[in-house]
Amino acid sequence: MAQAHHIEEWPLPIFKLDRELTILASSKMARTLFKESPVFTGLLEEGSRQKAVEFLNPARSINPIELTFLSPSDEPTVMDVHCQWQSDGTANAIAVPKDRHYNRVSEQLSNLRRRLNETNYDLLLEKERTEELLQNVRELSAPCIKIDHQRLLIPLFGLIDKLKMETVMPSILDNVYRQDGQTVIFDLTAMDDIDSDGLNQLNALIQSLSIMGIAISITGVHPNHAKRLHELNTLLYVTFAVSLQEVLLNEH
Amino acid sequence: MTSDELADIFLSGDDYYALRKVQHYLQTHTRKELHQELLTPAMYRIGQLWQENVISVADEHLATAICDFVISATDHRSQAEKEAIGKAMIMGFEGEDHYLGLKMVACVFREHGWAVHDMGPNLPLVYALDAAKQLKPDVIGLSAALVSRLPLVKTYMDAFGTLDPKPTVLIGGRAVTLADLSHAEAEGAVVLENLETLQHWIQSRKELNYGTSAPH
Repeated sequence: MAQAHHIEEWPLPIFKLDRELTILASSKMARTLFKESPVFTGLLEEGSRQKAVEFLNPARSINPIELTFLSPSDEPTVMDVHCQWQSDGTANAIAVPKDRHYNRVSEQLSNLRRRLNETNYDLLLEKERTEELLQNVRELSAPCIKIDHQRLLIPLFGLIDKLKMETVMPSILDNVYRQDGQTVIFDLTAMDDIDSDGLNQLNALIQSLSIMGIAISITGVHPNHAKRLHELNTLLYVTFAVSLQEVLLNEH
Repeated sequence: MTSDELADIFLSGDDYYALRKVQHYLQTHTRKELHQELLTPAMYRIGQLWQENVISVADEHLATAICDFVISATDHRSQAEKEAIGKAMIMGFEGEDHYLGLKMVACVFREHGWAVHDMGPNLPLVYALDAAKQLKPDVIGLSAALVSRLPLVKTYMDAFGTLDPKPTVLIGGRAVTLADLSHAEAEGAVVLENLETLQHWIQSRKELNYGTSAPH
């Protein structure tokens, strides 16, 4: 055992192996850095075992080979293994850790990748939250206000597009039906703009309402809106008024 | 271009040349063909070269980074997620650092109109559960390249089984072609060997949903 004692103190992981890669002796460093195993392949990550068996034999071991070892806590570490076979059929193998700089850079890279992933995930969550808020805004941008038992006031807020109209249409129709209204007043004072898809949807809404026998008034029309509203082909069902006040006075 | 040629380009470190080659290939092939017929065998080849002591881990990392770049640069992201027909959350098991497969899986889902949350590799179960509770995915995809990660399958599946609504669990990655996962299948998991079987699964699910109601 004099030989075994001799390698014990070396400042690198050193092994004495036989042909079957049984560990005959090892340095203290080898036992602290790696998992415990009676055979050399037991110290390695699964992807490295076959490579070790193939290359750690007397016919091949001239160049060092890279192998991935597992620490006692299963952390993978890549090392260069140098191996020399003796005439008695045993081998001395030394595992040399990779250049520290390499490890540092590779660790940094994987940290950067992880951070990118986390940011990506946070952004996705934010995006979902924003979607939800937008949907809320859409639902709130055409409230149905009951003025008296016949009339409903519906102010339209902000930019009116297809999605917004699709969101508010069912609730408007439902409200009108349930409240048994006879007149619906759309107030455009707070309406920012309406795009052509939004206009088509508004058209459809006006059509549906008139089929239900509802009279429709539109007030608060801004010059910009006026140009767009020209394109409505349901104009004949609609009366226009300068202000809400006028509508209210006229109909009473 | 063969996958071996592409592996050499990855190892040479020329990212833009790799991208140009791949874009050229995409003019006559689908993205799924790119992933399955070209990128996957190229990366297996690179693993093989390391096994044969021809290249070092540093070369392997360089090739991985370039392959990663190529997948991201050719990904299809125009699908509006609010109209997504389903939501998938995908991840690698704790202790599993392979992530290229996840990116390819994400591409396949997105191409079929799904919203995908790629949580990356090496995701501890606590975080996975937390994310699943928030995202409420229809599908959770687990990927393992290392057979040594497969004992975790049961732990992850048991945990996901407690979720409400309960997602479908898919398991894929190189490890499922090397080991027997019939016990996981018996518990309701779907085991998928490659991107092609994933694509079939997504399509058959879509047909199924046409008969009943859509997931969203």
